[in-house]
Amino acid sequence: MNKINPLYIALLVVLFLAFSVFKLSTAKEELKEEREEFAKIEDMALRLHSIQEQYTQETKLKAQLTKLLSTLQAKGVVIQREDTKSTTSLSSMEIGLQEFNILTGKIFNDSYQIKELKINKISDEKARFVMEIQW
Amino acid sequence: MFTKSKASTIFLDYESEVYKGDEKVNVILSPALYWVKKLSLPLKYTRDVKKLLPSIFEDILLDGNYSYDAYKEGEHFIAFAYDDKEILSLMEQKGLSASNIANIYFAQSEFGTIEGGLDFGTSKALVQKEGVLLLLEKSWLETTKPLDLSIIEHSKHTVNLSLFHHIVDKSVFYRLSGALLFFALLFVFEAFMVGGDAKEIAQKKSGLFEQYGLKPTMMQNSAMLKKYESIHQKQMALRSAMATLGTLKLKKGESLVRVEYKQEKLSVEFETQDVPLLEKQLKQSALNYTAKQAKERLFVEVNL
Repeated sequence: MNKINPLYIALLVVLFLAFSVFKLSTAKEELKEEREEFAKIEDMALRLHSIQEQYTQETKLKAQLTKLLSTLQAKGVVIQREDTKSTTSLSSMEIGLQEFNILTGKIFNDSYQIKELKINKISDEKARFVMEIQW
Repeated sequence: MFTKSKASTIFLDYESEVYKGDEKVNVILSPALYWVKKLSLPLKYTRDVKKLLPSIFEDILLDGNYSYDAYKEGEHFIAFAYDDKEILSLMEQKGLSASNIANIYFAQSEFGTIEGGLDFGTSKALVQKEGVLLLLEKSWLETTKPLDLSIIEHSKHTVNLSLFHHIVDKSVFYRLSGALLFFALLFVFEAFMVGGDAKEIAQKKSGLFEQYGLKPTMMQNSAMLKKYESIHQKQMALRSAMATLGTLKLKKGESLVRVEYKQEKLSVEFETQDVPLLEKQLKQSALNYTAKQAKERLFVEVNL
């Protein structure tokens, strides 16, 4: 009776097996959770990075805007520009339809954050506008 | 320094009295409970002899499951065959449970040389013939002396009883246990590997924060993403609404005379002589709007 009963060994092996199955399933569950969390963070990081890049390129957009205004002013268009730390206001008392289309086309097709916009038709060919861009 | 409490000894036979105590006892099995052979074999080790025992006893045992044991005594081997289940069943009948038993011995190994017969209180007595202990009817013997179990010095040859033995063969059992153990170890190894993968992913996860310059907490990042997505959605809605309004088909003399976008509200004013046609176009568009008509003017407010 002093020797270990094989049934105890069997019980021990079964317990060890149950423990190992539990350990494996816990580890797999942890891995699944880590993977899901990684995918979630990666997705958010990519989205945030992409959208942030789009709306935080102030220097580049300002340079493009300066260039665009210079081109239009060279064509005789008078556009007033007022810059504050967080905004840029553009306005014109009279602008030709074609030049206005060039200006809004460029601004609307890029990631300028338009805060305010006011356009009034003066005649079939002319309009006046005020636009405020947020940085 | 250390003292070992000595358990008392009882002799177990079919005719023994029921044990009524609750102390641990050593049990000596009567020759009625096992088969014994004295063997002379050209083998050195007892373990080699044990392997041969099933075939050695084959011709005298009835069909059933038996356990075998052997030990060396001088030039001979003393071999045993016994039925665990039968002995355990008898022990139960005689009031002996596993918790009561210190050790079990074969009578063969415990009595040394016996002169005459040993009377253990039944109709039979223990006698020794050519070194093998047997049971004989007391009436056949001329002299017997009472068996005194208190003076017995036990040998090292204990008996192992197993209920399991009757369910499945031990070797099959050990192989099965080995296989289960192998799988268990495999699972532990796999769990270790999976844990390593999880750690690697956790490290990559931290790397993402550095790579994309994320804020330390997910809450901060989610708030930032929400803010930018809201800006993006509003800006895209404005552009989309402007594009839709710009593509409306206006008749000659009709025009868009005013556009105003402020605090996320877009208001437009059309000069038109055919308000129903313009409204029809607006309805066909995907714009969410409200319209008001005044004379030849249509005022439209678009919800972005």
